[in-house]
Amino acid sequence: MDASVAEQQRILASDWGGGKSPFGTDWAKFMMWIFIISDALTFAAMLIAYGFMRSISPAWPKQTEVFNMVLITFMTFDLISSSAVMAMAVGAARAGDAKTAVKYISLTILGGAIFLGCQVYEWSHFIEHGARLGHNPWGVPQFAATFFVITGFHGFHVFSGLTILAIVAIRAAMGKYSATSVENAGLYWHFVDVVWVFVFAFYYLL
Amino acid sequence: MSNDHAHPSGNRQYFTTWCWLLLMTLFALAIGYVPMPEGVKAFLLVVVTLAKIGLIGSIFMHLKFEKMNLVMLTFSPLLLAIILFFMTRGETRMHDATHVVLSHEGWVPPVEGAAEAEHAK
Repeated sequence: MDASVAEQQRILASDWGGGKSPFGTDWAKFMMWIFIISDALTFAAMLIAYGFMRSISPAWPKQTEVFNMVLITFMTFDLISSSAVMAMAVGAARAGDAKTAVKYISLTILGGAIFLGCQVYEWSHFIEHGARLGHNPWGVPQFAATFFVITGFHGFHVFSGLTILAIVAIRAAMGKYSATSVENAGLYWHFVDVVWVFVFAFYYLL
Repeated sequence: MSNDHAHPSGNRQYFTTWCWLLLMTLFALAIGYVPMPEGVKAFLLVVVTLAKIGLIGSIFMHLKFEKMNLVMLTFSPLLLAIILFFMTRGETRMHDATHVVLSHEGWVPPVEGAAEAEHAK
């Protein structure tokens, strides 16, 4: 009987025994990770579809000649910087310094807003030059279609991220926050950055 | 349940990571402009991108301090992307000599069957 109890305790103490989270996180953070992974699957499918469409097209325009690469590089710099500042916000929230956390989250929101502004400028410029979902002046229709779908979907994520960050910042300013909520918002924001790193490399540079 | 693993407290590590990310972004930009075979360019961009993702994931997203079970879970989309890439590869024109990246300064599209004609010579 004793051996049976000891065996039960040994199983419960193991990673997959049911006694504790095998992932070592609380449920909210784990659910955020599950969401990020499912969202990453969507973006992965989108980028592979883009690669497929590009490689079945007889020719593909040279992106560095079509897009304003100074602007795109600035957007990348901006998003990476906002991600670094968000990491600092998470550190401050974990240390229980709500005031500093709100300051850093506000800076992150500013970075995200600048990114969205640049994207609006880029889109309007692209449309002004004749780009539409079904056709564009540079070559195959898929060139503009994949641009609008991928950067549009990413831009929507940036907008969602800004909304989440604004809610977290307001709650933190009111003293109604937990370090986990700031960390979860941060995870989402870093994910938005990760996706942009892929888009920057595979859509704009390759 | 609360997290029972260590997290970084200082901003110094984030600043160092930010510097590395900027350097790698500039390197990726240079790869985009320097003329080289597309295969080499793709390989270099994949390496730089994965390095950047590794840094963001491990430092900014704290995966460095998480359990290996969670870290492995986050790799599943990458695995799916690789599977999808090889599933669709056979249908693409990656080895087609007529498939080009064009400069929109006076490029003429290839004539259908030009590669076969060239091969017949």
